[in-house]
Amino acid sequence: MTPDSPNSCSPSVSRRQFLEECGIGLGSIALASQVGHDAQATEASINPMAPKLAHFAARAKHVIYLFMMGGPSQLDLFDYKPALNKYHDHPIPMSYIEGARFEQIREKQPKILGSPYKFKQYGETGTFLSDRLPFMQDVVDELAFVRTIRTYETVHPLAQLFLLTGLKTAGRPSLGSWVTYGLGSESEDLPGFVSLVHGAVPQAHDGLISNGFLSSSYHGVALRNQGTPILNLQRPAGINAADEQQIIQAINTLNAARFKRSQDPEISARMAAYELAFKMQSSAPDLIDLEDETQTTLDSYGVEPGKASFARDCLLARRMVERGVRFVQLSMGDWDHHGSIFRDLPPLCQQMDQPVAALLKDLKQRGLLEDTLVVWGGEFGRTPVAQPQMNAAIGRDHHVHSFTMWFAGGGAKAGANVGATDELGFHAVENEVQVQDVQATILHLLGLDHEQLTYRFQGRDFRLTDVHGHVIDGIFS
Amino acid sequence: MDRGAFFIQGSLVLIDSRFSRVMLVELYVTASVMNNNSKIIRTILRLSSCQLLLALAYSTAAAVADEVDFTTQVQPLLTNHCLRCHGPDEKGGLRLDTQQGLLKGGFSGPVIVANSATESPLIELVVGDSTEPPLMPPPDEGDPLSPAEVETLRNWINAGAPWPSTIAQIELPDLRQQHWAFQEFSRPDLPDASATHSHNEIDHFVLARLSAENIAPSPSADRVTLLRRATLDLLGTPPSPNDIERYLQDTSPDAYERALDRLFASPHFGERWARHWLDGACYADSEGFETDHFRSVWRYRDWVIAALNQDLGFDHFVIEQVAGDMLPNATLSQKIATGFYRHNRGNSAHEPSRLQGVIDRVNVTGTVFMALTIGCAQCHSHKFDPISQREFYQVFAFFNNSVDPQIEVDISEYEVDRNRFEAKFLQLQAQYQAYHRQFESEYEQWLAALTDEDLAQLPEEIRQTIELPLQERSPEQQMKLLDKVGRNNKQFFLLKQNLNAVAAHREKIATALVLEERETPRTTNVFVRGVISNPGPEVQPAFPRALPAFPTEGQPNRLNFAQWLVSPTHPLTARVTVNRIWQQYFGLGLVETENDFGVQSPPPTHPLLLNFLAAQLRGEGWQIKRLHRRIVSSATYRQSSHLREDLVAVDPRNRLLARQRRLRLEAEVIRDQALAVSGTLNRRIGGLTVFPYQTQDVMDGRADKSPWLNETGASSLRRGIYMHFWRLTPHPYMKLFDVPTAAEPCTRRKRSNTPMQALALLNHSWFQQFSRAFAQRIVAEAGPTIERRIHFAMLTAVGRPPSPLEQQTLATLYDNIYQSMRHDISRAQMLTGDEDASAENCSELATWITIARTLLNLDEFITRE
Repeated sequence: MTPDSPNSCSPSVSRRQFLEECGIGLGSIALASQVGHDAQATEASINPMAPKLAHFAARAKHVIYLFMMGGPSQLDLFDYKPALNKYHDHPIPMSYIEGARFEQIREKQPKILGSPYKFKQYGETGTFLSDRLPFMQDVVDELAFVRTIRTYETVHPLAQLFLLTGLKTAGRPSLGSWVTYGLGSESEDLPGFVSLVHGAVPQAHDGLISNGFLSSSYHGVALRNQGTPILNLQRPAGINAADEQQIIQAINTLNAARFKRSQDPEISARMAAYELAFKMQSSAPDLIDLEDETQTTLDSYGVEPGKASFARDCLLARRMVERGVRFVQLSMGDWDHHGSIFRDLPPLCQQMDQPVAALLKDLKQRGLLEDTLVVWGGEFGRTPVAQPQMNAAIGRDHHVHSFTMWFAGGGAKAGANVGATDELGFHAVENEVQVQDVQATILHLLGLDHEQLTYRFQGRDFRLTDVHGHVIDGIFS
Repeated sequence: MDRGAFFIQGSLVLIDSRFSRVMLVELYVTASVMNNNSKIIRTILRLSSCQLLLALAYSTAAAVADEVDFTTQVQPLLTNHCLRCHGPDEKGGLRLDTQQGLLKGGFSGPVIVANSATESPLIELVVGDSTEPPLMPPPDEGDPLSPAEVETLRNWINAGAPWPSTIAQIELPDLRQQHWAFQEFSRPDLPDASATHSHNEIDHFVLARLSAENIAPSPSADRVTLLRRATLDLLGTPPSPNDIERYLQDTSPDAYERALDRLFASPHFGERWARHWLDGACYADSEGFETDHFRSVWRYRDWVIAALNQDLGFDHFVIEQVAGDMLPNATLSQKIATGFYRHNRGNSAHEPSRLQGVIDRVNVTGTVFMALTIGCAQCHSHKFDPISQREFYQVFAFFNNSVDPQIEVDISEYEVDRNRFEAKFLQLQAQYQAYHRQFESEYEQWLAALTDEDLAQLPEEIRQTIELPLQERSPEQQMKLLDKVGRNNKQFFLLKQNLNAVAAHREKIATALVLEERETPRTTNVFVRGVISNPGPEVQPAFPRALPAFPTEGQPNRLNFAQWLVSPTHPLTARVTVNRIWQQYFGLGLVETENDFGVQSPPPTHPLLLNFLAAQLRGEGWQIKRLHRRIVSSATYRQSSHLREDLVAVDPRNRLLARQRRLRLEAEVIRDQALAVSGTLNRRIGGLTVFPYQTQDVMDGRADKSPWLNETGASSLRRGIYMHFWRLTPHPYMKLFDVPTAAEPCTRRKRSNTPMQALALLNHSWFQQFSRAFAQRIVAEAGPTIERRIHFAMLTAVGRPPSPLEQQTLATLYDNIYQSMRHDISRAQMLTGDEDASAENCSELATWITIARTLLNLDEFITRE
């Protein structure tokens, strides 16, 4: 419900002028472009998702953000710290925890918690990986690690919103919305920003795909996490494509007339939604139908036909990127291991490891990895110290001081390693990286300058990174 | 020392120039500084009541302390960590808000040794030692001191714990004085307003603000827009063409007021506004969690509808829901009202789960009545929050004393509803029996195939049954045996689960979930860090300190809590309620954070208007309909919703109310409206839940195997408020249009705008059905010409006649589609589902279906203008 602002990046202003000038002709021109006529110039002024020029040469065209909700344990997966086992069960030296913040641990001097998993070096880069990630071994050389991400929010929804929108309270546009606002989409017939959630839908989820003050067209489109991913694709029996085209055209002609009177930007967003919905009726069934995948591909991801899984989501992500979707946000829940971590972490790794490795290989093999940036990480990490629980069901608490994310493809430098944590993996000892730096870097790889990607709202130019953010040095080639 | 003395002289020069009397005092102070004895300073301070003297001494002390500044460093630390208990409350006999208290110490002796932090017990208390966490503040009362704060405290004590003489007592921030929402309110005077733009008091406040900002209000929306707006807002269904015609024919000045009379008298008002209330109550027809079993709470939903229709005073509305069971000679209706609290997580049979449920009840109470996010205090206190953790559990104690019974209710008047479940039950039972007949015939074969091992695995009971001759087996034994025979048949297994679920459902529908107070109170403990398995100190029911007291005889109980909520001095309930209702009419409340009136919430845009409406609500006997009426009668409400170029920059979110706002309708209302427009809405009020069509995969994988009835008859045509809501598997259509999850109180729905919504309105089988019915209605009711039919269709769908452009667009569409259908009659037959009609009739109806579908997809159709 926010009006468009006079901003050079906003397509809506020109769209409004266009509407005022053409009024009734809108539907026909918009629809003409998708049935083969060359109307690109017009398309750009109608469709908020029309591709837009980046600020500078882009390294990546697409993003697949693998969002591990709950905060996976970097210390049991990627950040190898032998000292944890050496000092297992010793109280952590006070020097580490002066000023440290936990969420639930209240012990004055909690005890160090070792990792029961074996770490070995893999690939030409000799990167350490936990034995809980057997499939990732094959692709480890593709990854660019940042081991020292710092956040400040210890509570899930706040940290999630902070990571993806830059503010701990809901209401700002999320990363995917900013990206599609800045670049549009390369897909004419699928949404530019798509979200899939595997596991429990998080408390803050609406906020994590929200357009905030940007046009409603930049809101993430959520696919279903069970059954058929997209419903209602089938036209009523008896209406053919030509009829449907006329119907949508009439709907939008009437909508345009209404827009002309009331000037409500929600109407123009809805017109864009109808144009997209029309196209999706023919494009989306093809997207979600996995029939044309080979058994080898299905097996490599671990997809069981007809069954919802994170593996299926990963495969859908590749299919979306292949079809030009700009930003795919795959969220996977349940990484919040305050207790029984060593019972609950392995099965979750199993669900994640194989499809993620398969996704990277698949993208690479199809030549898509080059311009697809894959990002992996949670909203924070987990503590090197134990969170005591009854019945020895020990866990790790939220860790905001330093955690690991990795990037692959899309200009990320394979084998790079940014930042290092101390002996216990508690604090950064070199290159502390802020959440806004991650945001700035993702935008940078997409050819967007985080300081220039702004939206004027209530008299102020807003940015994803607010007044912060530096592109991370050393993780792109 | 030198610096101290220098400082004093500097101060004195200033003071001296104004008050000669101070000179005498100065001598004492100088002397004391010379001796560097803070005790002397304090002695002098106590002798004097002169504020100037105190100021002077403070300067002295601060100078001596050198590094530590009391007001900026020590005072905030004491305020944030200590004074909630060690202020006027004197916990443990200790108060740290006065210098006297600090020096005196508590029951167990002094807490500081001046000039020696290491010997001061206070430091030990807030630091702990290497193995023990700090004792103070207790984790349920406040956050521990940071190392920097401890250092400040040490330096301060080492410097002699100087106390500024200006501060006789550290004032605890009193929310009742500092934060607008905790202040009492009364009816403010009306600002002047121009008569042309003003219909009632509301407009005075709104226009005063607008004129201060030099902004003109918008003109009134046109009459038909206004009628549709009010009808959708008040009833959630559109005005019919007859309503519109009647309204347009009434040209008297009070035509609008008369239309409002009719709307407020409609029993559908209760349905519309109950839905908003149920969002806050987390109403849903199942338990949630893994099992998501059916909960029979529909009688509570009907109670809300009836209460709103009868305009039950809001004070009674609150009291009956919070504590109806505790009213003298509580009626069944009053007991059912407590169903408000039966939408929480958990199950009262299991203690940790019951406690979780009580926590939910406290959260709902905080959010719904007071817009306080007191849920945060479950785990920790926060210096900005008005409620400490202890207070959270004191409120918890009010709600910790109920048993959660299921009571029998008479449902004889719901025979029609009951029959639907009965029919389903009988249908499944018949299938079950057919399977058993089949198993009977397979029995010998099955028995023969059993190995000894198989036999050994069978339950003892079954083995005994096998031993018995057929005629000696009881029907129950035989049934269990046959269940075993069919145990490997997957379809049978599923059927049996369905049958059991429907049987359980059928039993439960004649019950209601309520609260009932126990005679002997349970004890309530603080849960340290909010963890149920970690009980801390015991607490008693008490009202939060930031809010007014409510005297009771003896220990206050849940009924007193309810009375307190609507007591004349309670600053929140009326304002929160007014704000929520306002929000439904304008998109945003006068306070934007409708779920948070806490200390960090922004002030209202129109504070006096909020106070006015709240004071009127309370002063006029809490009549809710009167409040609604006041709002919808105002010129402010009646304004046009068109965006104005001049407002885009200055007030893009319409906080100043210089216009109305277009609001996308809620999931239920979009569907209700389509049902009404198509002439098929079943307007029956109340009763058991209904199960209109949804795609099969929604129910896949559920632990609870209750079937979705996928009804097609009259039940499928009822309003959305009656649709069964399984928490774990909501209807996909409802999710697309932002229906809340019922996991936590929802006080404002999101209004998203996605292509998935477009796909649903275009293609969902409900909407295909609505288009067909609407088309039939157009053909039957509108007269013969295309023009008249288009006119009727537009009037019905969006409440206004078409413009020439719209008429022309639709007529062209009609011609084109008609040609297309006429050309390929098989498509027309598919669309109409009628193969017997003549080609002409069939093409015509098919085309009207298309026109109907077009109208049901207009942005205007799903928007309140």
